[in-house]
Amino acid sequence: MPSRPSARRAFGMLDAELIDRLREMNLREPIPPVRDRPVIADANGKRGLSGFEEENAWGAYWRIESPVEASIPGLAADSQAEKKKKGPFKGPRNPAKPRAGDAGEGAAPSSDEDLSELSRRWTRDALYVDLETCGFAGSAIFLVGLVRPVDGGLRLTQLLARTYAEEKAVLQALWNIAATCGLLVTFNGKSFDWPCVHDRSTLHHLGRDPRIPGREAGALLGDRLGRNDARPNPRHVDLLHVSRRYWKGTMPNFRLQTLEQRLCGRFRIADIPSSEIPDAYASFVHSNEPGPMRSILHHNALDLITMVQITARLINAP
Amino acid sequence: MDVERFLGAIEGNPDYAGQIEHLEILAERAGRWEAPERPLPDPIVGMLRRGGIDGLYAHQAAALDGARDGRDLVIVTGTASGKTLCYHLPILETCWTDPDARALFLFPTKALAQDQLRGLLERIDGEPDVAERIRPGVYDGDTPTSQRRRIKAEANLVLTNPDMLHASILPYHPKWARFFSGLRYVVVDEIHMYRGILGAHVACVLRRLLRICAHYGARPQFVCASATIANPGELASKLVDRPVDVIDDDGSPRGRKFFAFWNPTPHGQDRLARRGATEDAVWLMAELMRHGAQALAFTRTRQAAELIDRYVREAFAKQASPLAEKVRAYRGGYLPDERRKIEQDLFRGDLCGVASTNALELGVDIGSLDAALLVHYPGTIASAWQQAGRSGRRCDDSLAVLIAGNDPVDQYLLRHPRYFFEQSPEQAVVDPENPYVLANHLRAAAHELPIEAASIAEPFGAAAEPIAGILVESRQLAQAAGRYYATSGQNPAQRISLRHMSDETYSIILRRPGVPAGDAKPHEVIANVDAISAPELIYPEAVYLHNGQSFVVRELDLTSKVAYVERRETDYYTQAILESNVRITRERTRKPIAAPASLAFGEVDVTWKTVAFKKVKFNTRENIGYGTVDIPEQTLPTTAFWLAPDDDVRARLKAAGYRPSEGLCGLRNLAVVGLPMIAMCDSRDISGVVDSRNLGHSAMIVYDRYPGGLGYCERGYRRIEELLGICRQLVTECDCEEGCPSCVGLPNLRPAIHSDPDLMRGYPIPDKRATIELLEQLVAEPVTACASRGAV
Repeated sequence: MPSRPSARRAFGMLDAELIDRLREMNLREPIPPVRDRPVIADANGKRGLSGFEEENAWGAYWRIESPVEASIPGLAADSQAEKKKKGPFKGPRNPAKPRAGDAGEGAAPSSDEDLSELSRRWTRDALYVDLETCGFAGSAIFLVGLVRPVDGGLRLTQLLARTYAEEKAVLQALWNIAATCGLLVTFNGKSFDWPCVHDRSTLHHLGRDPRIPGREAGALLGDRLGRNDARPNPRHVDLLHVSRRYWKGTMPNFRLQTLEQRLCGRFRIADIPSSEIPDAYASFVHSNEPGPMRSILHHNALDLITMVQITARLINAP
Repeated sequence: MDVERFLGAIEGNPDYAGQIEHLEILAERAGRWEAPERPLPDPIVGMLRRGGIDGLYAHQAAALDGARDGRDLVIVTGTASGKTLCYHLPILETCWTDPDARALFLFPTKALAQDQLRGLLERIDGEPDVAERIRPGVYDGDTPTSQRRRIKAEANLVLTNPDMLHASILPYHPKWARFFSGLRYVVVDEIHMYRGILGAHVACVLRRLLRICAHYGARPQFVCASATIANPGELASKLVDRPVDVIDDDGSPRGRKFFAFWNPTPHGQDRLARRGATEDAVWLMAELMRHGAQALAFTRTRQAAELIDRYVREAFAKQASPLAEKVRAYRGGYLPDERRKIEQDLFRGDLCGVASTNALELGVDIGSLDAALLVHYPGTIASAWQQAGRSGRRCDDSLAVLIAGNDPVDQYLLRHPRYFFEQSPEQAVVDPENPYVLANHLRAAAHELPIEAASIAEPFGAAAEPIAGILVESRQLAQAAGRYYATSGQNPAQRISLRHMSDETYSIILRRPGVPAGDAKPHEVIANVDAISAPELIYPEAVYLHNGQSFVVRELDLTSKVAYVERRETDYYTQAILESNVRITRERTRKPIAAPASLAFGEVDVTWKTVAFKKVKFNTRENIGYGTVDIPEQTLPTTAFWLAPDDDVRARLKAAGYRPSEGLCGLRNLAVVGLPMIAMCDSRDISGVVDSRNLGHSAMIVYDRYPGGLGYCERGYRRIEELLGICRQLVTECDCEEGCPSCVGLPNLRPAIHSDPDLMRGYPIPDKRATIELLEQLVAEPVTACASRGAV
């Protein structure tokens, strides 16, 4: 004897006063709705963010390209000559010296496979990745920061979702770039960034997770990443793990900013704290004001630069 | 068990003075077996044979056929009728045939999931062919992180609870992508638990689940199971948002059942004072055990369960009987391992007597027992049958005894046993579109997956669209490209509790001062208490009873939520004295009504607090002293409506010889029963008081039992005329003469819910005529609306 759910109550039955109450309960400042295609730069291109809109199979997103040097504090554009003398990356003022034998029981740094991969590839086809997300695990990715070697130099690429709706296009762009790289480099990315990229891609039905065995599928991407294309699965070095092995016992902790202070001698001033980034993004989405977004982009660039500098220290690059 | 012989022996006992006031004999029933339309695969048949099952009962075959046909089902058959097999069979068959198939099992408690896992493993273990392809795992808050990844990746049967699905599985669905894409069955067991607030939440969680499944290309079937309630089909179809077939043709055999109504021995001449129900329960339990029977005593409070355990044990110990070791208490708060052990000992027959709270009422498999003692009426017809159903062998006689307390409701049932046997069990009401609940789940859903604005009503109903609009306005959702997106990166589900109150717990830690190091740990967690009950059970100097032993609470640390206790054998136990208050904090709105009374809606603080305690001597119940308690009060800030009859109404009542406050008490009791019909909630979700301190004259205050309120009393406020009409109809149409549990009598307000109920004064059934008189004045028109007499 089947029994059917009672017919849905029409909207009219939902008490108007109740709606008022819900509204009253939750109402704060009314805000303008999110634009489907946000305009970041104003007509004169003055107030806006640099970069350009790019489109792929899943829609448009914002892309910012620059040489890495442009984002390194203390390396102003007018000191290019000096930079060449010193080499691209500033060494630390008070470098923490790795002690002999510190690099982990049984695995000397030189025989560390991760290190040899790093030194072989970091200027050839490595891809540094750092994400900014809307919050904790499981939340959306809105910015993918990348550093990779292009034309003999390192290029910073930032893929930005200007609204929540652009995440899929951003991920597609990431996979297109990842398909050309031979080594993925992250900081704590084995447990956070990369699973997050996979999870969000799975959520968007973007390619097949290569870690899960299944149908044969080509890794040919181009501009398409159908549900059954396997995502690229490059070798992955997590700098957090390598640093822990290499500088074991010499660091108070292995947070990125601690390493930045100890190894690069750089202290962040007026940097937006990670904890404020989700709210800053939310306010950017609703206001289209580029201010908060600039801080986030800068924060993300500094994280990536620090990762590159840590690499340089690890492989004793000049 | 030979029940007739046992009852004969009891009646021949010198202590027997006619306590059995009614004996109902429920006839035995023969089993009916049927073959499914297609036979099961051989390995599954082999597995069943090994477990002693040679054929399927009619309802099991019907469930298998229905599931194979792709229908959604709810199974409503008696306790121990083999309900579990009804959903195991189609799932085992499917997973045996299809390695990609997955099944999700939802149980209301973690304990049930563990019990089910054990049963499932036992079932498949003997059959390697089946065991190889069936990989069940429990995934809940207790699952160690190290096992979580493995369960996500490998288990094809996942056992969990709705809270876990809501807060920790759905929000991380990409990690479960394979599981959801293969999901073929969702089992929702004990659905009668999912009514009222919890039901509204669970309905929303299931809609979220279906949306995620659809995202991964799956459309699972539901197999629900319910205890006997009035409307299982309606409840199930509202929960799962689909038509559901009801399978209630119980084909399992049943022995005869004797259901006795027992009124405790009167004390001397004074017919009104009786022995406590606990004392007679102790006597009956000991007699049952002496007769070689296995008995379960259900108590209404934790303390009562401990007391019965202690007294039965003492009685046997005095006679140096080995039975002293075969009795235990069982209740919430015991650590999981301790509970598992008791369940298993009971199942194996190592224990003969267990005194339990309703914690054992749910389907934990403890085998079938000979006798169930209901120490006090548990409050609902459905619950009483569920507890009574814990005794009952397939072919042997069994016994259930309702031992009445001094409560007017208990005594009413004793006087009117037909009322109990003829009353249909309660209706379960659930409102999947409660706007407050839905608003929260829309936020959670958008976090999981953007919601398509155009088809939001598809999963979430017509109310979803306007609510989503409000959420966008208040920036809790963002609308872009035709979809609703979550604005906060935090998983909103983590802050939304599906249950009435917080699920925080206090730990009870045993200190062993002066114990030489190495002998035993100086500190050990021996139990937990939920935060709501903590002030009533573990205030400083309280005697905490655990497994028949007494402990004294030395310290209660409210910040770290720990109580330190020491083992001390006392000759007394303690009883908390609670003060409870409802304080109106803000009037939001008021409106003129036709009735000569004032009506307003607003915010109230419901507070309760342990202010003192009594020391009560074991056995004799002598009061041997008091102590004061200084701990902060607990507060529930919520919404309420209040109704205060005008002065002349009260004056007329007085002139007619009635007490106005008594009339209001009756009205309050009726309103708590009647409001659910308007507000689509459960009676447990609301409560009310009659109070004159707030307004200076008597008023009835009815409030939502959920922090911040859920709009139930708000509906009562806006539809007050209808509510008063329903109340009047309930009371005038009731056939009783002076008031009964169906009209003015239920429910009782019971501030202390964990203490010894025998020590509490029963609240009198309010004067029915005073209530009728009051309602005649408040409701001008004659009764026209036709209120159904359901949720009693």
